[in-house]
Amino acid sequence: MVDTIYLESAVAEQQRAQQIISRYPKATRIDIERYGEVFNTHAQDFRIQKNNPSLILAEKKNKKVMPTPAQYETGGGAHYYFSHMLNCVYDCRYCFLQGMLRSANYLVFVNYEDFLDDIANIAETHKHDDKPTWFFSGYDCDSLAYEPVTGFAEYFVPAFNHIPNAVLELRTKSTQIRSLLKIPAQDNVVIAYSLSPDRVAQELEIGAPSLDKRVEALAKLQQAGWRIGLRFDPIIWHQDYLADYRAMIDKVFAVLDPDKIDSVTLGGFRLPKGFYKTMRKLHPEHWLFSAGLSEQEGMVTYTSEIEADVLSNIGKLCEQHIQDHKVFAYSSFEGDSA
Amino acid sequence: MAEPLVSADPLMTIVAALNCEAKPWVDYFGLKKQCDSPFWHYAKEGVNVEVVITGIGALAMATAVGWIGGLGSRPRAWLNLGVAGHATLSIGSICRVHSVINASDLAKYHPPLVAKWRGDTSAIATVNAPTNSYAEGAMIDMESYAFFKSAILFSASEVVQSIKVISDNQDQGFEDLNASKISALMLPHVKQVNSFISELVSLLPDRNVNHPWPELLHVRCSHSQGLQLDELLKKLSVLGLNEQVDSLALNSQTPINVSLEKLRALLAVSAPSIGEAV
Repeated sequence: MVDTIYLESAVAEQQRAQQIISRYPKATRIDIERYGEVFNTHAQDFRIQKNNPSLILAEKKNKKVMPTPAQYETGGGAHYYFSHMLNCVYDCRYCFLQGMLRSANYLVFVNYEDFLDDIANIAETHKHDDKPTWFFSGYDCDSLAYEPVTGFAEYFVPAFNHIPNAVLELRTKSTQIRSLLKIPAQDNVVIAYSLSPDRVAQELEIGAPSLDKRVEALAKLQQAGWRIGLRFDPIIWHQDYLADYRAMIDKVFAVLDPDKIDSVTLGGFRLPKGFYKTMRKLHPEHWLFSAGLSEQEGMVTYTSEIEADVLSNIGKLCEQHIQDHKVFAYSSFEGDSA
Repeated sequence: MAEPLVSADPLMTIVAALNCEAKPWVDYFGLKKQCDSPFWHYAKEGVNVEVVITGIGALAMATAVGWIGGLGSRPRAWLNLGVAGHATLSIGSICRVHSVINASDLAKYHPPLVAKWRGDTSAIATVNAPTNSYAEGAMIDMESYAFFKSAILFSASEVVQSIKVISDNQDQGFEDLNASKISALMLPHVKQVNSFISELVSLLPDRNVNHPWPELLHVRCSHSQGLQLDELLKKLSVLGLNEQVDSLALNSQTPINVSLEKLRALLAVSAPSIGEAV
């Protein structure tokens, strides 16, 4: 439920914005010139706003598609990411958005057509590359969690049919897959699910679907012919972590066909130092920000010993089920994937 | 009726330009006028609602907010209560402020609307002098902009809010208003406002983490070492490792380097236990 909608003047008459507004007939509508008037301004508190986020509908200007950090690659080729939305309906305790933003309001950029133009133009510059160009969604929001409101996948997924040298990867924890299941699967779209053991999910991924529900959604997508990916990232180090992750991995691969899984990626809990400090101030009582961490080169990560252990151990568990060339581990200490 | 807020922490500060605007809340909470105060200040021991009367205008408002904001360090929510004019809204109606514009420079501010409010909302324009020239589609007063911009220097903007009762409109100007009429306009809204106060105060987070070894901080050490020690003890405490820390048998006579080394070693190997209270 959204109580308040801020509407940027530039999109006030836009059809998509109007459709979204119509879903919340009881919400207070407040007109603004630019979203910066209400998003991330001085003295805002992410934790407090998360109690009752407002919705902001705005136009994304300037650069809409950005290159990804070099290590975030799953199979070569150029990699980019884009965000039609900032913030998320879930409240994952480890989420870096809490450290990056002061506002928890849902900021939706409704000028999808402009995003798509930029994506198509970038893909065109890579048309002679050997490998397809990847475009990731889901770094600054969950790609599908707000789908009934935003219609994001419903718009972008079919559009990638017309950009054959591009791959769209949707990162999600959501079971909102109806818009995908009602259209034919596409070769150049990957649906990648972030997965955590039940106990981790229950304690840290507040509001997100359970592991069972996510696996169920993955199975439906795979059966419908969609390319899927598994993201065990961040792996949360804790007592009995190996047993918890083993149980989860066994459960996942008991349901999914490993030959039809696009990739599996692993990463430890890690944050830029500034984000970590902000998040620990928001949740000083939480063990997540106290256990096994060290600082190096502006990043707060698990100590090298802990991270090496968890990546190695979970990697081995995965490789019991899937070919090792499909497993990518992101180390904070080596600067590249292993 | 909303429950009176009687616990020690946190604090709700009601700010009004005029005594008559806040009188119903002073009476409701049984607050007493405090002595030796540069502004009229009502409070009562054991009640965590206080009222400050600022006087009319932006300068008075900003000065009073700065004064009360500088007193103490308790988590504080702020609520500006008062009357306002509006071209068309009926006299006595109540609105939460959702946007404010400073008429002198057209600067805007939008308070985050996190706390639930079961009523109307409106923008408000802050002007420098009383006027019967009403802004289009907005309330009008003389303090709101200064209130918001000064109070958010002390608290998160989500807990800095304003509620106005319409005192005059284009059919009935402000000239006939007096203190008793203003109090009478405010009085019917005590219940609704108190519910909102409860909502606001419930948003204030408790972010104080203490550890049970304050005596260890009396060790001879540099400021930096003291901070490191405090941090390590807090982390070990939130991980539920009190017994393990106690078993190290540290005390304020233990050399700081030894304490830091032992605590870091303990922290490095202590994986959290998920699903248990820590």
